[in-house]
This record gives sequence, structure tokens and C-alpha cells, in this order.
Amino acid sequence: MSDDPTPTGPLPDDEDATVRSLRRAMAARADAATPGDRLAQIHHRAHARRRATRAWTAVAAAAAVVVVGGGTALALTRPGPGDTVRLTAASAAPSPAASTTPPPPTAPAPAPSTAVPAPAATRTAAATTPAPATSPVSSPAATSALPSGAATVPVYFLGEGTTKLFREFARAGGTGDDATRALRAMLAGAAQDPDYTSPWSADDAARVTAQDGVLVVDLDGSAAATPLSSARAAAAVQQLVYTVTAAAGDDLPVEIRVGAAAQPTLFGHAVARTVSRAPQADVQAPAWITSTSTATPGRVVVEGVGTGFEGTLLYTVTDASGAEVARDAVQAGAGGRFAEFSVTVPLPAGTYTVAVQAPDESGGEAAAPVPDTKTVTVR
Amino acid sequence: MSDSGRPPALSEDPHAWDADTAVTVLYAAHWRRLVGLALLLVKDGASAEEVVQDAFVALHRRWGRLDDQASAVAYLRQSVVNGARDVLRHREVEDRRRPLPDPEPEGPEERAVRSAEHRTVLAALDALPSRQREVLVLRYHGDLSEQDIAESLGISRGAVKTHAHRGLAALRAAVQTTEEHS
Repeated sequence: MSDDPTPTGPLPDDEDATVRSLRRAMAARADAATPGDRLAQIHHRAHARRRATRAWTAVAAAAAVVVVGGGTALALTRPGPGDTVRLTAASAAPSPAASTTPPPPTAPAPAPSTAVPAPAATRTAAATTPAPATSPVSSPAATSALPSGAATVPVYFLGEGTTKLFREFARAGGTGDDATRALRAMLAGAAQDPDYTSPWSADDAARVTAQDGVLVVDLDGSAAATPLSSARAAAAVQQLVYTVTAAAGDDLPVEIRVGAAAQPTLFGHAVARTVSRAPQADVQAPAWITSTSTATPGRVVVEGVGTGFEGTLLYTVTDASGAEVARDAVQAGAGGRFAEFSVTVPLPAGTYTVAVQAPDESGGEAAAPVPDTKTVTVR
Repeated sequence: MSDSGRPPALSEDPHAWDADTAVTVLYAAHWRRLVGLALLLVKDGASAEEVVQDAFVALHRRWGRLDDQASAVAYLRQSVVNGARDVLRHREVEDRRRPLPDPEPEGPEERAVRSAEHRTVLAALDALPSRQREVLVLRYHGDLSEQDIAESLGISRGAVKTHAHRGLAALRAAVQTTEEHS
């Protein structure tokens, strides 16, 4: 950018509208972060190299320090808007990895000054760092806790007439960890989008457990009884694998058991002992619409994620009569990478169908594109 | 503040703390804020937590050797910046393995705070080359001085200015384009 002489003065600050806008936006994103409590895991890892057998007493003793009044902490720092002065007791719970009955993520959270919705803060250490190599106790039955308490869980579906995956977030009820809730919601199959389907059948007793770095899914035989084509059966298995790994927050291999037996037959086809996620570009629909907003009259804001040749996706808007009223390209990820897109379409009041898809580059030779469509009502 | 609740074991003087105490206290004061900073740099929550967790583990190992223990917060921040850079460097590989291809699940609270304006700015920020994004995040979110940013990123102050101005110009253009479309 040689046509871009760099100003030499100080950088602009709040007198600049873009700076103000950037500050507000970054603060909003940072404030929305609801990290899990990892203090116990930090202590654990910090000590892992030095000790062997007295592991837990040391961690517990360190973590049990209770600090009341944070004057000393402030002395160390420049106070900032996010600083918390009151400190609470740290969690003294042992890591779930060392426990046979996985405890729920204990969360005496580090007393954030702003209220954080508690359920979202449970993406805890256990799931994202499976079985630390430094585990101080050798426990043969390495069952580890899965994250739980998420307000919504990811559930994958197949698109109508395709073997490509789409995803919704479901307010799955019930008890158990997030992966189990997501699994049951997927088996129940009630997608919000009428274009999404699922070949699975409901199984309220299905569950997911993490054992030795594998996510074990226990199903009843009736959940996958209908015979399907091999392509569709494979897609259904990926639907399950994507769902439970997403909800578990960890890309582990998945072992599906039916009636406690490994390597079952699902939808009329034998399944390998463990199945991992296939590459996204192979199984995931090229475009997902993740939200539509008509909050502002006279327009719709469409957001999603997708991938396309040179990053280009195509969106179209059709009105209630089926006439196309808008069509344009939108930029997402390229080369098999999925990236966010956002497009704002001005429209007169009315009900429309918005579709986003990968444009057909083959002149009609390739398989039909797989659009994601949503119905919106513009005020 | 009453003394009755204060455990006798903990000294008021940070210099007397052992590494465990230091980590516990600094975690309580800075965990969430540092995760917020890391989130802006790496753009996904799970990686952000990993990066900050690594920073605390590194601090624990180094605590006894920090010349000036008051620099612990700066040390944590530097570790976060370095760790975030590593994450971005390996993102190409990781992307194929990460369970969630999209940003954080759009919880209601997140959606509420991300107004349309925020979204435009954040999308433009995310699209910047990583150097420009780092400079803007450290300057306007971390409130670091130009000199601190230069040292933190290992580049000259002139380069800090260049990256910042180019980044801001791109954001300005993105916001204006959106307004014209409106």
C-alpha cells in the first residue's frame, strides 16, 4: 500500500468515531465471554512435574486459600474496568479425571464483578484437555466428566433430500451432560427448520460417556432400525458423531454401542468400532444460515457460516409468490474453510424466503446445490 | 472490611506469596479479563481459555524468578499475546479438527450485546491481517501504549502506527459501506 502514507502523530483515540465504535464492540465481545473455571487445573498442571503421590493434598491446600478483600491484588495491577476486587475461595475440587464418579464441574467461579449466567460457564477443563498426560494418580477406569449445563446444545440434522449436515442449537431439556442432552435431542429429531430431517428414532435412555479418550454412545437398537442406502447411513452416523463431539466440546473418536455391544449394525450397515468426524467440507452443507433478523423495519439481516469456491456463496430472496426479488454474492470461507458471512438485504414489508448456497460452478454438471433456506417476515 | 474473615496464612505482601498463592490471587483478579483479551485475538472461546490457562501455568513456574513480581500481570498478558499468535499460526491445521466450525454458540446474552454495529465492526476486525488485529486489540482493548505494543509484538513503533492506521482505515471503510447499504 504505497499510496498510504502513514501519519506520524499519535494514534487516534476516542475523538475518532471508528475508535469509539471499535472499543465498544470489543468490550461487548470480551464481556460476553463466560469462561469456565480452570483454577484447579492450572494448579494441577503447575505442580505436575514436581510431585507424584502427594498430588491432591498439595493442590487442595493451594486452592483452599481464601482471600477476602483484594487490596493486595490491586496493588499488583493497574485497575481496569474488568478488574474484580473481591476474591472468593478457589475451587478445591479434584480434577474429574481422577474420580470414578464424575462430579459436575464445581464452580465457585472467580467472582466476576459483572453477573455471568452460570450455566454457560461450565465448559470446563475436563473436556477440552482430556486425560492430562501428567495425571498424578493412575486410575484404570479413566471415565471423565463431560461439560454440562449449557443453555442450548448443538444438534445436527440432514438436509431434506441430501446427505449434508446442518446444525441447530436446541434448548434441550432433561438431565445429564450436554453431549447426552444433544444426543437425545438429535434422536428425537424435532428440528426447528422444516427442511431438516433425521433418520434416527427417539431414545430417551441414550447416553454419552467419555472413557479413555473415546466418547461412548449407548443406544437402543430401535434408534437406527430403518434400512437406508449406505451413503445415507454413513451420513446419519456422521450426524451423530458431529452432534456428540460438538456438545462434548472435543473432537474425540466416537464408539457407538447398541445394547452394550460394540460395532453394531445401524440402518442396515455395519459400523466401525470408532468413528471420527469426517472433514467438514465432505459432510457439512456448504452454507448454513445461523440467524435472520428483521428487527429493523425494511430489511433483513442474514448471518451464517459457509465455504465456497474462492469464498463466494450465493444468496437469493424470493417473495411469497415465488418471484426472485434479490440475488447477490456473499463472501464466506474458501478452500474448504468455513467462515462467517453476513448480508443485509433491504426489502419492502412482506414475507420472503432467503436461500444461501454454493453457486453452481459446473454449469449444471454437478450435483444440485444444497441451499439453506429460512422464511422471514419483514416489517 | 473486617479482619475476621481474613485467613491468617495469607500475607498482605505479594512478595511473600508462594507461587500457588500468587496464581490463585491473580487468577481471581484477571482470569476473566485475560480470557476476554485472548478471545479478541484468537476469536474462539475454547482456544482463548487454553491460551490463558497456559499463561497461568507458565507464571507459576516462573514466579520465584520474576525480578519484579509486580510485573506478573504484564507477564501474563505477554504470555497471552504469544500464545494467541501460536494458536493463529496453527489454526489452519486445527480448523479441520475443531468441533464447532462457527463462532461461539449464539447464546441469548451474546446476541443481545452484539448489536448490528458491533457485528459490522467485529466482522471487519476479524477479517484484518493478524498483525493489524493484534495492534488494534492491544491498543484499544488492552490500552497498551505504542511502546508496550511494539515490545510485546517485537516490532518497531513505526510499524505499530502503520498497522494501526491501516487497520482503522479498513474498519472505517467497512462501517461506511454498511451505512451506505442501509
